[in-house]
Amino acid sequence: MLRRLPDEIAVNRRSAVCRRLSANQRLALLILALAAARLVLYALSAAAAPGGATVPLSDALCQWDCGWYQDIAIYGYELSPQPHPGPTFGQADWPFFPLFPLLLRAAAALLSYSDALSGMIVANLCLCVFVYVAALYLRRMTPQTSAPALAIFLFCFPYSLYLSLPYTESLYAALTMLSFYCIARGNLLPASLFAGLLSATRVTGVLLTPVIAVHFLKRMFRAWRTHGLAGAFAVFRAALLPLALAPLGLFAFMLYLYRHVGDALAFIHVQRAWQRAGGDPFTVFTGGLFSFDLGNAFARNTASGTYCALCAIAGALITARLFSQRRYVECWFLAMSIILPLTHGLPSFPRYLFANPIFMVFLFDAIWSSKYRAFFTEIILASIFLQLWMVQLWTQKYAFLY
Amino acid sequence: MRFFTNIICPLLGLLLLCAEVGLIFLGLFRPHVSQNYYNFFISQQQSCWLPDSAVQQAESELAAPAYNIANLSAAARCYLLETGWSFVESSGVWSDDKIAHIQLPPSPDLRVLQLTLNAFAPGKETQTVAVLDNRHVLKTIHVPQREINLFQVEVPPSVKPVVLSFDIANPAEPAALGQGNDSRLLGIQLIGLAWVPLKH
Repeated sequence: MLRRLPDEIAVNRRSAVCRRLSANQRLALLILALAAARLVLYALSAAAAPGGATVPLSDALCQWDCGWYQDIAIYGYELSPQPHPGPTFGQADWPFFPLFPLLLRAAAALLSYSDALSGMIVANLCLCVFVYVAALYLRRMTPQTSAPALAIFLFCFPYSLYLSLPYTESLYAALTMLSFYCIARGNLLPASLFAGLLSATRVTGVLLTPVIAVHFLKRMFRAWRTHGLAGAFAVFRAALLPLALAPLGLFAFMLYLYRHVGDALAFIHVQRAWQRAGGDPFTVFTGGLFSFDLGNAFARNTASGTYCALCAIAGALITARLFSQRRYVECWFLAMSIILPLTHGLPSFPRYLFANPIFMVFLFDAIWSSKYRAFFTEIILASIFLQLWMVQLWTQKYAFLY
Repeated sequence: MRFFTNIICPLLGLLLLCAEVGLIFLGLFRPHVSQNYYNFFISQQQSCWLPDSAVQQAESELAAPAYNIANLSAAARCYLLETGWSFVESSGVWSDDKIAHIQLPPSPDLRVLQLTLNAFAPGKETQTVAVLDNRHVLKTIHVPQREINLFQVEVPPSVKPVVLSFDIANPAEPAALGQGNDSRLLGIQLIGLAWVPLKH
């Protein structure tokens, strides 16, 4: 009998371990490994930025709105807009929805870490949940897809940078994906529970309420055809609680604001203090497109209207693809996620679009199911470099990343 | 269990839906906020944010015997220039609407306000302006253009802030007349205000 070499034994042991793990467990391990590798690369990239070596990674990544979330987590919501002249004059923290700061506060209390570090931990845990559920979801919708490839793509996509920052993006992505997954499985009560949490994360979370309502209408129609009026009424009765739960996060926040500041819609009204030039989405889009300032696309102190409008076109293309595939739920969600931010103007638009979970998942689907799949490795390598470059610019507060 | 799913859950859902509709009503029609908050954030009649804590400071600044608009603090400008005004320049502030309003601090006594004005009246010698207090015309003045002019208006006593309106007869856009690229609807320029002693 031939003696087996040590390497051969190791390989066989590895494959035995792999065989014992299910596909989902292997996916979970891959996601954890990718998340850890990404944070190590972030730390190296942030340290390489000017002055970055002296600042902890969690503090270096806490820029722009991160301060608002931290303040809410520590001090709660403000009672009135800023009374002192300065850059935040007239502003208040009410546009920032409460679920993420609540999680941040809970994590800081549990772990006894700084708020910046707790925010990063919460965000990255949500990122892992998002990627895992996105893989399950896409595998259900498109069986020929590759879950590991999707996980790698989501971790490497440049704008997925926001999903590791102490921002609402990763929580929003995780809850959106959980809702979509439950809807795809026909579990509308859990879907509405996740939608309720989503509406406490960002105002666009309420976009899932009409989706759940339409699903119940379809069920009512089917029940009416098979069991008559009594069947339809039974479905209607069952729909009342999920339909009330789906926007509950938003309404709970409205009630809180009404009791706290006297204005249930303060989260909308206070936007005026940011002096964003909003309006009808088409005018905002054309205004940006024809500002011909693509040279400022990656400028430090100003954002480019043309770049933001081109991003909207990219979003519209993915939306049109979803429509052509008859994925109406995803199409509606993405279309509204493009139109609603446009009513507030173009700043932050690339973040709202490119860090949108539906956009990222179906961008991958578009690449994977096309001839560009042959260049997947090249796309991933380019994305990694782009993302690390963006991490450096983020730590230096470049305006186009706002 | 059936009782829970068939009766309790739908009832709870119905109650929650009613509460949510009620909240929309509260949000839209029953805000419980200060007048300054309402004017700036909700009705958006006011062009700047004046915190409640700054009202007293603004009122005392505007009760001074005389001042130029350009030298006022941000709070006092916000209090004074209610609506219909453009941005404050070093020479004063131009009206940017057919009707412009100023808000003056309350006083229990009759007062005389002296306005320092300039006008934009293309094709005419003067700009005609009606000064109103709550739709009552206090005075009609004719402001010659490109000159600094003083006008006096009696301000009636009031326990509330007094809002004076300037109804400008012929405001015009310089850009529309081929005079540069200024597209504001100019009528009068408010340069300064002074409280003058009442003559008995």
